[in-house]
Amino acid sequence: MMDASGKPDWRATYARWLEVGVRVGLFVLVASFAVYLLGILPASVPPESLPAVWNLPVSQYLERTGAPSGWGWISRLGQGDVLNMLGVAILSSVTIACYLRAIVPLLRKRERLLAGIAIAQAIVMLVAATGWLR
Amino acid sequence: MRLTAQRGCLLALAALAPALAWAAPAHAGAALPWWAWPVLLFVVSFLIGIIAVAAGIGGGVLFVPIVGSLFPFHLDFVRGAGLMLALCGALSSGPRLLRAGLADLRMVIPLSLAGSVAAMAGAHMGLLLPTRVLQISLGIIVLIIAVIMLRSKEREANAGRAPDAWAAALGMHGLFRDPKTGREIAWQARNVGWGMLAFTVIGFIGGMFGLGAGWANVPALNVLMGLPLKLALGTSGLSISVINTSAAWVYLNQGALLPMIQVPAILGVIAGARIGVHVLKILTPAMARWLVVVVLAVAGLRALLQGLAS
Repeated sequence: MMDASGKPDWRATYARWLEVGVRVGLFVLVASFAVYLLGILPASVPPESLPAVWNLPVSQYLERTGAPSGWGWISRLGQGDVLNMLGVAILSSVTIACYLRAIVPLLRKRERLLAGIAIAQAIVMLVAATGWLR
Repeated sequence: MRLTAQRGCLLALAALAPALAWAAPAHAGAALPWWAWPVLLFVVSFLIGIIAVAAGIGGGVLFVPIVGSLFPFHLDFVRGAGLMLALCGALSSGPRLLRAGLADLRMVIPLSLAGSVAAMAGAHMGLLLPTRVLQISLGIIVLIIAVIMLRSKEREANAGRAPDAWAAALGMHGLFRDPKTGREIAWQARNVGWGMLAFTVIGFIGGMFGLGAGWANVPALNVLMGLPLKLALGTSGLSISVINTSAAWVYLNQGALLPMIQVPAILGVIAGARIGVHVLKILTPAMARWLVVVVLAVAGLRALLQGLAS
């Protein structure tokens, strides 16, 4: 996938960014899960306590365990179970990064309509990420 | 003869699974040690991964109704895990699909915008509704999906038809080269407005129930919008990676993602999908589709009855 100037096409760049982001995200997700399972870091909800709370609706679960919601996890990355959120956040951010990267070449190619839709999509994903609509 | 015996064993095993699922009382095995649940979840997700690949669908649509009715986890966490599972599968396959020309980003960008706004709304709505209402709705939706899968048929691309104004403006056309046969198919999208409406409805349902969306995206892209089937499959996969991103943030911000549920599920489905590629040699796509329809019908009916009984 090359463009007329011999540089990688915007779709090839999207694919490359996606590939790197997913690898990093999956690695962090699995590694942090191992940290949680092996008890390397203290957990906010230890694995053996989960059966008492995993059958509760999420609102009651949060109330009972004091587990973080929103961006509260950022300040508690020293806890084994909360550390898993880092992998989830990376995986949930990969597409946003790919879109932001694709907008510039689209504008350069004067694909204004597609670039405009991509900008709108990036804004939607960023709004979802901020949690403003909670 | 050996192939027939292998197929027979597989089908017998598959037929036994829904029967066992039906017979198992809800949340049986509460006395199991905590670690048994993630292990069982890995095994079930592994089987889901095998069937999903053989049937050409994402795992989320099987995961939520099956795990939601057989495991003690609350539906909020099962839906969150189903959504992450579909997202991880779509993200992992995205680069390969793009490089092989099996997914079209020009189609993905506009359709996903409609889908992701709806998926966000669906995720919020799903986390607000009472569990009973959700379980009944899930049962009904899954039964409808089983009927859609039973009735869906492949349609040839429509190169001869004039594109509509939106398709022309967005450059939604191309030449698809089937990597297996080498055959080239000229295609151009049609019914872009209807396609966006379909992605909006599908996105809302996917976000609300964490189901993934391949079961409906593929017919929308192939039958409604006229893409060749293989291009529709790949484009659907890539669009799920965009649509589910918005919904995943909603579940993450609401605290509805439990590592102990989502990680074994994701790893199980990924491992099962690798085996599923080999099972494809034994099981024909039609047989796999029938298998999924039966499993969905049983899981959907069970979710519906559990909701009505609660």
